[in-house]
Amino acid sequence: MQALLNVNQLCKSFGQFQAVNNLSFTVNKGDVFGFLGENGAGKSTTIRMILTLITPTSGEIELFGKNLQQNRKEILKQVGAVIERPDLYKYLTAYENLNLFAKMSGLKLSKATLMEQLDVVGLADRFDSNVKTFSQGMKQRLGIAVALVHNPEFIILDEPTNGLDPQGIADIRNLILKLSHERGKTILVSSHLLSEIEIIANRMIIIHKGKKIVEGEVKTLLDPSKTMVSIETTNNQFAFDQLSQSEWNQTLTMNDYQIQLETSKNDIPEIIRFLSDKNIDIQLIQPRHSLEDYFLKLTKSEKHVEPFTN
Amino acid sequence: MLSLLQIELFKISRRPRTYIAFAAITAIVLIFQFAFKADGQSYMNLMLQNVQDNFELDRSKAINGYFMCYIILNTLLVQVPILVALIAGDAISGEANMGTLRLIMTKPVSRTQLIMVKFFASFLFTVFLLIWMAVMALFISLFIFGADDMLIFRVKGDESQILQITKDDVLWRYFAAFGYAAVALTVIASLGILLSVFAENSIGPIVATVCIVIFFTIVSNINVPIIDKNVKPWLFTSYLVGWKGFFYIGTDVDGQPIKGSIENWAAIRNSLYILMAHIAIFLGIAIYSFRKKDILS
Repeated sequence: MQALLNVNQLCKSFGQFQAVNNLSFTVNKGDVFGFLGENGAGKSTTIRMILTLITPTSGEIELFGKNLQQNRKEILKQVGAVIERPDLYKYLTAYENLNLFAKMSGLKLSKATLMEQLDVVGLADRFDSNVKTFSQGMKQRLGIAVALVHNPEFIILDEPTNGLDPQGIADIRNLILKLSHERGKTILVSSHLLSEIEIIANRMIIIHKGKKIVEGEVKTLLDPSKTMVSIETTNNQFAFDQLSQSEWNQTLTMNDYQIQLETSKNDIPEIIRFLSDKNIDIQLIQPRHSLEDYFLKLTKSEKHVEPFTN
Repeated sequence: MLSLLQIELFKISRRPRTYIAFAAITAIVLIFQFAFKADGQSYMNLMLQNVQDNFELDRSKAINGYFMCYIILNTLLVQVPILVALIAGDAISGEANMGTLRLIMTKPVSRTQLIMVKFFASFLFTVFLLIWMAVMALFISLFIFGADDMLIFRVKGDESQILQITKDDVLWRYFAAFGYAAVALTVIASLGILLSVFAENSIGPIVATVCIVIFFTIVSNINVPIIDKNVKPWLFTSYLVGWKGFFYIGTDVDGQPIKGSIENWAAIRNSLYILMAHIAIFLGIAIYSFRKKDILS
C-alpha cells in the first residue's frame, strides 16, 4: 500500500491546553479513512493542521511523499476539503461560488464543466440561486462540489453529515462511496458517528483527548466474534437467570429493559433455541455492532491501548 | 495574483454594502450643490466680510465649479476614511466571520498573497471612490456652476488669506490632490486590513479603525509645542489633509501668484513619504501576523 498521508508525532497546544498529543497515523492511497473521536477530541485541529490552517507545535505531516510546510501550494493543488460547516459566499449564486473557487485553484473551467460538477452534487437546477436561499443539505453538497472542482487526489471531509436530514446523510454517504469506487479518490472523513464510518470507511483511527486510541482496518476492529447482542423477552429476569447458567454467562448484563451479552453472530440462532426450550418468549433479539461499545469502552479509559494497530 | 484580484473585486462589486459609500457621497455632494445653488452668496459674503475692503472681486463668479469642489472636498475627505474602513476593516475578518477564510486557505493561495490582494482591492475601491467623488464634486459642479478663477480661503499663522488661482491653472491641481488623497486614504485601508487580521467579525476592526483615525486626528489638532514637535510629525493623521498643499500657489518676491507653482512642494513630498511608510509598516505587520495566525474560524 502506498502511503498518501503520513502524520508523524503531531502535537498542538493552545497555551496550556494540549489539543493534539503525539498523534501518528497513515492514510493509504485509495483509502476511505474514518477519523473518529468525540466532539473536542482533536479531529478538527488535526484536519486544520493537515490543511495548513493551523501550525503544529511539533511533529511532521507528509502528503504525497512531500513535507507539507515546505511544499504547501503544490500539495494543496491536489487536496479538496470541506471543514465543518460548508460556509460559502451567501450573496453569490451556486455557479458563481464554484467558478470563484475553481479560479482560486488556478483553473479556468468552462460553464459546461462547472454545470457538470453541480450536476454531480444534484444542484444543476439551482445553479443561479443565491446560496443564502439554500438548505443546510444543499450548502453541504455545494461545499463538496467546491472541494471537488479541481479534481483533487485527496479529499478531506470534516463532519460532512452534520446537520443533515436522513436523506441528506444518505446522499453524502453515496457520494463518498461513488468518489472512492468510481473515481479512485482517497478520502479522509471525520465523524463522531460510528455508524457512518462503519458504512463507508475501510480504515479508521479513533482519537481521544488528542491521542490515538486505535488505528486499523474497520473490518478487523469490527470483529464479528465480538458482537453485542440485545435481547428482550416477556420475562427478562427469568431469561437472565437461565442465561447465567449457560455458556454465555461471561459477558451477561441486564438493565430495566434488556439483557445484553457479547458473543459471535453465529451463536444467535443457538441462543434463540436455548430460550425457546426454556419456554421464554422472545420479543426482540438484536445484534449491535460492537464498535460503539468498543469506542465507549476505550474512550472512557485514560489508558492508551492499541490492540489493532496495523 | 491578478486572477485573485479579479475575484476580490468581483466579490466587492456583488456586496450591497459596497454601494453605501457611493450613495453617501452622491447624497452629500448633491446637498452641497443644491444649498450653494440656492443660497451660495450668503456663504461667500460671510467668508469675504473681513477682506471686502481690500480685495477686488466679482462675487457672482466666485461660486463656480472649482470653488464648489474645494468646499466639498474639505468636508468629504474628513468623512471618507470611515467609508474606506467599512471595506478594509472587513477584508480578512469578514471572510473569517463568513467561514470562507478557512476555505480560501485550503486552496493553493499563500497568506501573503491574500493580504496583498485584499490590500490592492481596498486600494482600488478607494480609487474608484475618489473617481466617483471627482465626477460628482468636480465635473457635476463645473456643469452646474461653470468654470472660473478659484478662490481659496486660508488661515496661515494668525493671518487670514485669500488665494486666487486662474481657471487655466486649477484642473491639474485637482488631479494631484485626488492622487494625494488616494495615498492618504490607502493608509486607512492598510490600517483596516491590519486590524481585520486579528478579528473574526467585521464590526471590531471597522470601529477600531475609525476610533484610531478620530483619536489621532484629535491629537494632530492639539496645538501644544511638545506635541507639535515630537508627536505630530509621526502621525499619519497630520498628513491626511495635505492635498490642500496643491492649492497653495507659490508667489514671487512681490507676492504675485506664479502660475503652475506650489508654495511648498517639499512638504507635500515629505508627507507622501510618511504616508507611504505607514502603508508599508501596517501591511508588513498585517502579513507577519497573518502568516503566524492559526485559522480557527
